[in-house]
Amino acid sequence: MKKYFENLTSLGIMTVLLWTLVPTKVLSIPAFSRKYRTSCATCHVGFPKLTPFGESYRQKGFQMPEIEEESIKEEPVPLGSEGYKRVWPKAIWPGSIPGSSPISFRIRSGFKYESDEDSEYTEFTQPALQIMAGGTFGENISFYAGAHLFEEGEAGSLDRLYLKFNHLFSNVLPYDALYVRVGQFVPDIVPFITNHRALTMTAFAFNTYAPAYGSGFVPGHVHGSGPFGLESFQLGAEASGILKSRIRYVLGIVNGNGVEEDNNLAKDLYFRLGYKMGGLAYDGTSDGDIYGPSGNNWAEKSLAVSAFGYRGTGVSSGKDVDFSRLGVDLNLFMRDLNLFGGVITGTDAEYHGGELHEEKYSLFFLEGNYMIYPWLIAVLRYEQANPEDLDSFRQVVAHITALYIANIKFIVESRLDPDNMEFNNLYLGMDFVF
Amino acid sequence: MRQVAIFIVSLTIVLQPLFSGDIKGTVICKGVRDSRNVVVYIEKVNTPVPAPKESVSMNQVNLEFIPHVLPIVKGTTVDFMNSDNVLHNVFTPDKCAEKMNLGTWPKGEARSYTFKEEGCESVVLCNVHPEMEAWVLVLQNQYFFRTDKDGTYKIEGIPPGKYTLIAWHEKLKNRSTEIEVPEKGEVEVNFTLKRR
Repeated sequence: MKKYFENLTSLGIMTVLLWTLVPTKVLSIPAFSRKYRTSCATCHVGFPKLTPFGESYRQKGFQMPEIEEESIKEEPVPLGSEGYKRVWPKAIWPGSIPGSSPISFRIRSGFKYESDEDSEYTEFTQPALQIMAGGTFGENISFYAGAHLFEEGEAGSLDRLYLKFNHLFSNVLPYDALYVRVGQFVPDIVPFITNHRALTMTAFAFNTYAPAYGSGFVPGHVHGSGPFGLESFQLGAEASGILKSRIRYVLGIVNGNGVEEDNNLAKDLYFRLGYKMGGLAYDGTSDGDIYGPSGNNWAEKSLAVSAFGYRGTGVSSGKDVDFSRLGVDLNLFMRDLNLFGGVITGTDAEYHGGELHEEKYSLFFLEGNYMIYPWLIAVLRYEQANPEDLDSFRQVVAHITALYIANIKFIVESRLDPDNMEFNNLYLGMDFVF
Repeated sequence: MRQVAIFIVSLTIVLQPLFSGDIKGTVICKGVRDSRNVVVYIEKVNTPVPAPKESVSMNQVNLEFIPHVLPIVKGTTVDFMNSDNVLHNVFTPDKCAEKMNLGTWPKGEARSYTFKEEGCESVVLCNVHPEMEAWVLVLQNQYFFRTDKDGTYKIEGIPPGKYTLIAWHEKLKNRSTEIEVPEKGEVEVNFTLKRR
């Protein structure tokens, strides 16, 4: 054990030395960076976590709030001029495609240490390779495609694949009032803590917990079959919009059983309704200087409050069973500190021996992200699930993200059980995109 | 009586430089790449000059209409020249330009159309190359200016009086303002155009 930590200490010292030798702000080149010739840091704080600006960019269909056209450095290829809108239906509605292939890759690998009462275990972990493509087909249509090509030693699968129709009916509705995306996606129920935007390796129990896991629950990302999770990939359609700059709504209808074929006639429904005070509004507009003296694009003062709900129908013993989730979440930015949390209640149902059993639970979490430097972020999270008929589940996650350059980061993370604060696991990770 | 009228108009034209002002300023465009191709113009004047007898030209070069925006006085004839080695077509879906379609013609030739309706904002397209686009703006008078990248403009020799000054852009929301042009000197008016 001591030996491992001597090695880890050496690794840490080497890393710190390397950091002092290279500049920390450089241009990274995933698809959106290439399109605008801008750094990852424009939209991300230690990718994949989004800055408020990045969140606005995402919600607006991958378009720069207010300054989309003048920001594009990589000219798209027009598929007809704007004037052809006047010719329709006697001509094809005009659009565009990206000027170059909008493909990006993300590669993660690491080293982990685990121990229990009997043994210790270390491993250089299998790398994960993810491919992502995103962009716009003109102002009114956006697209995103992503696949885990290789993960945990096995071939991966498609994760997100959707079209998003932007600014619908903007001649009669406010410009950002209606967006619709169709395809396979992660429902925008609690968007800022999904696996694809979180700093931590350890999944949020908030998104993934279900009483069906029993007392042996270990937070893991739900990408395929298995009990329902808020961040599961889903097939369906989702409407969203921004009203009066600071109110955002989401309404969705999905199959409800992840990426598999639908297993029943019913469809699952969900909603989210949020209000943001201060900082950058959801539509990317702002009132004056929101970043304060530092000018850092994460350093706003804001509070967003949202409520959400999900009502679904699953299958147990060949019969339809209803389940639900209801909750609220908060997202507070106080300059270098981002504090966020949420409370959720859930009801699941299953048939046991021909009888229907309901299982209820509540869960809350609180996480703080502190920007020590623009390239160094400390994270601490606490989560607690309280199922009615099972033992509580609790976890503490401690994490550090360190950007080597804007598109390469190293992470250190450990997950602790508050009932037994013994240190028994550590993950050192390397993560880069291009 | 007719001779008197001609005399008054002639006198006005001759003396106008002695009693006229200028309008200048800058247009800032937000939401587009730069501030070019904004047309700043006076909506109406009492004595507009008639359309020029000579036609003006809009060329087609390297699959682009040049200029991209062409402000003209009502009644002006525009010659659409093809300078490319490929066939081009010129048409508009706009009623105010009679949905003109000049057909298709080869390099070195031009076809013409006279824009008759004041206030017409006609988009000009090519059926052969859907990405080509230009605009013809048909105005009441000759007091207009098309901006370059920097957005600065200057309209000179305007008779003193009160007018409505308009800044037009193909994608941005137009802005207008009431102004008073002095007998001598200049008045400065700046615009900021946004998408909505």
